[in-house]
Amino acid sequence: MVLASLIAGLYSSSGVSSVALIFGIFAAILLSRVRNAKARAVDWAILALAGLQIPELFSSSYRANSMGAPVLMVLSVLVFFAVRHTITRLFQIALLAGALGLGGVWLGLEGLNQVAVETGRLREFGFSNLVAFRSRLIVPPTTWILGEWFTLALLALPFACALPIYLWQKGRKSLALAALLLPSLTTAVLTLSLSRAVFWSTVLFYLSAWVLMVASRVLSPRAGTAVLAGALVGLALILAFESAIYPGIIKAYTGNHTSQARSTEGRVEIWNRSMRLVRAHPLLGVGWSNSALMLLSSADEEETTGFASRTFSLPVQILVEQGIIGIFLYAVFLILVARQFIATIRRSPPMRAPEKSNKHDRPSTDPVEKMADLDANAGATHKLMVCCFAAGLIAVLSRELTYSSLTEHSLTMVLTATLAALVCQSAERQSYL
Amino acid sequence: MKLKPIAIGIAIAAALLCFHVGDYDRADSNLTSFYKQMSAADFLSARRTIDEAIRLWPTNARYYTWSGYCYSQKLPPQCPRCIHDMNSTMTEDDRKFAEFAIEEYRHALQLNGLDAVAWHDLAWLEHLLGDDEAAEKDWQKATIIDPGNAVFHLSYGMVLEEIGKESEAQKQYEVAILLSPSIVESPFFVRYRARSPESAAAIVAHCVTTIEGKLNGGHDPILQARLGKLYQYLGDRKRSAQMLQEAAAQLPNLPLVWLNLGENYEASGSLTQAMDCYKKANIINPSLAGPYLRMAELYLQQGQKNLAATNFQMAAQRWDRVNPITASHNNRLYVGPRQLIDDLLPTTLVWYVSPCEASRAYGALAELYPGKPELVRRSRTCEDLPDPHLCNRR
Repeated sequence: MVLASLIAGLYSSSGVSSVALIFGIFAAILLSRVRNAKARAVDWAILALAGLQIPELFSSSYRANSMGAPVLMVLSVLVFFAVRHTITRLFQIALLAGALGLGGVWLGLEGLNQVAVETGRLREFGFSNLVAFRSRLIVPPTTWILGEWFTLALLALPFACALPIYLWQKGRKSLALAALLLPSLTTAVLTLSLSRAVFWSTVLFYLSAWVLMVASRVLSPRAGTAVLAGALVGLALILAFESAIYPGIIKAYTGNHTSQARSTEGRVEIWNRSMRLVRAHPLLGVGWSNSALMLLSSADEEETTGFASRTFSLPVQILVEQGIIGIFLYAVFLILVARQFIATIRRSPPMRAPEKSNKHDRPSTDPVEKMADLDANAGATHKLMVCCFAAGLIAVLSRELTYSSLTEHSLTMVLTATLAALVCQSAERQSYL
Repeated sequence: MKLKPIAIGIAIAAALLCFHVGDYDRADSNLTSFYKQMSAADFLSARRTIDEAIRLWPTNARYYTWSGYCYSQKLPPQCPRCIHDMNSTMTEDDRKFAEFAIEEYRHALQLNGLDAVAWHDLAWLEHLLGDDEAAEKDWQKATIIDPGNAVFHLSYGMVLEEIGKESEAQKQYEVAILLSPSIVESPFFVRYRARSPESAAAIVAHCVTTIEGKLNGGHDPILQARLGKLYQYLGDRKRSAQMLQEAAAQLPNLPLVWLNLGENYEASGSLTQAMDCYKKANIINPSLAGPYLRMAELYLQQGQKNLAATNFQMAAQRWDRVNPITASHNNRLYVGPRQLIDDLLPTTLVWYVSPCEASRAYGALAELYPGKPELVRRSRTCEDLPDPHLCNRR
């Protein structure tokens, strides 16, 4: 709960909350009495990423811009280790996910309200084509820009989905149905983004969650299909409802408006320019937060797409700012997260075969069998939640293929680290009961 | 190795790091205070604040540029050499402050050589002190680092014109107008046209040919919007309307397109459509003075004096706080507190190269509220804006 509120405190985006987070986590780690597990390859990989910031800082093209990187990175790594070390019970995962998912709900409510007000104003003045005005339908807090804000909402989505899963598996079905409001509201604002990358990443989240759940055999193909159908029908209903209120939304995701075509052209152009920078600074890059500054002088006055302040792709940004060494370390980390995910799924207690469960019309009275039933159910719950978190990572990383926002804020970095840590949380460490 | 000791080690490292960067955070909060003090023209406090920020974070180039900018506040906004001997108009104090400022800009550029605004400001100060050779090089650097900034090209062109390199100056003016055709309505261009009508006409004609060539019958809304503005300037209302309408259909979120389209409608007598366009421009970007001014004039024609007065006041107010040009750009380049004010030298340059609505707004207000000498005085605001290079007035 402490960790959840500390991470949620980052939503306030004040410097004080980062300090509070560090001391809070420090105290939590010191006082925790959980079994001290052995560090795995993935833990060393994230430490290597943090360590990379030291040479990066010294090789940075303009060091004052890169000074925030070590703090941001250490904060994320700290949260990663804190989650790995202290979040060892299903209840804790659900609580953490619930608290962070509530952040998504807040973003959703705020966003829906802003869209309603702004579209009303635009319509009053005869503007019906919302796609061209998508950048002003939602106004995020000062330090954020809209694209980063949608990344945050997308990051909150897997947390929002994990809570209903937990409640459903615990047999609290009415509460679980009520908790579906969390992902629904977050999804609702994501589908109002009018950004193709955000929308399709949201769809990808649900699809990949389904694929992972079925592939890991936590859901039978039949049950999986039912879950996927439910999610897609829900998504379609949200989209249909929004389209009825704001016509033209669906076209934003299927058509090619002039502003979207320009946005694509601009991206391709900036990736070309970024590659020139990579060739000039191959090993360690130009340093954290320096891509915009370095890309400035490569802009052409003849272009009409204007200067863009980012690389519009996380892999390209990492290549530009942290060089080949940086991208290699990130790739190794992600591969190890994937490996840990597979291990987690494999090592979770097996699900009880349905036919065996069906034999019991009422709960078993045999204490050993009862324990096994509970363990299997908890194992399935854990697997379902981990699949959800992994799908979240996949969705966010896909979105970041054409946008670069994860490293801009401590909150997005910390939420990504939390997702990665929860995906890596090995089954043997889970105290299910 | 176990997780717990690693986690504790990281927590300790994080805490130490936080203490270490604490000075930088304090320096950044000093910068925020500095912006407020500069906005309030409290230069003395601003000086103290920026010095403290530099003490806390001596490797931050931005702080030195602000320190240089602060030193430059009392310098004349015009280069005086053409009408007087420079030393007779620049006081010893001015020279001293200019030298301090130059030193700060040079320090900033040693730390970050990609700061186009710093190169530009350094060039202005060098020019002010008579070192035209260095100034020209530095102006050129600014335009190379940030070729998309029309103000740098204009500023560079102005100095080239002053030192007699007329054709090179025209090239820079042309680049600037290609980037931002609304410059044709700025006090700079109005005066340039008055002193060199043929050159001004040639520049605009060449800009039109260039954009037509790039457009080549295609449908790039930005090029169409630019061409529409230039056709309007040339009085070709039909082609202007066509270009602007096509641009608006493709990208309806461009406020200047609606503003220019509104002017076309107004000129052809379609006042309702003109008002509709001005309102659209205004809702898209309420910080622009132009739409307020045009709406006010239409309200006045319709006899709605109160509405007209309110809109004239809004136009004058918006012009006073003309959209920062370098602030939003720097916010995208540098990590730190949001820059709220521009840092271009001379400080009046931004107003000099932007469309000026102030004279018309204050003039109309002076007629609406007779007996207010301040309004009468301000009705010549645009005409009184100082030309940074007095030689160009000849």
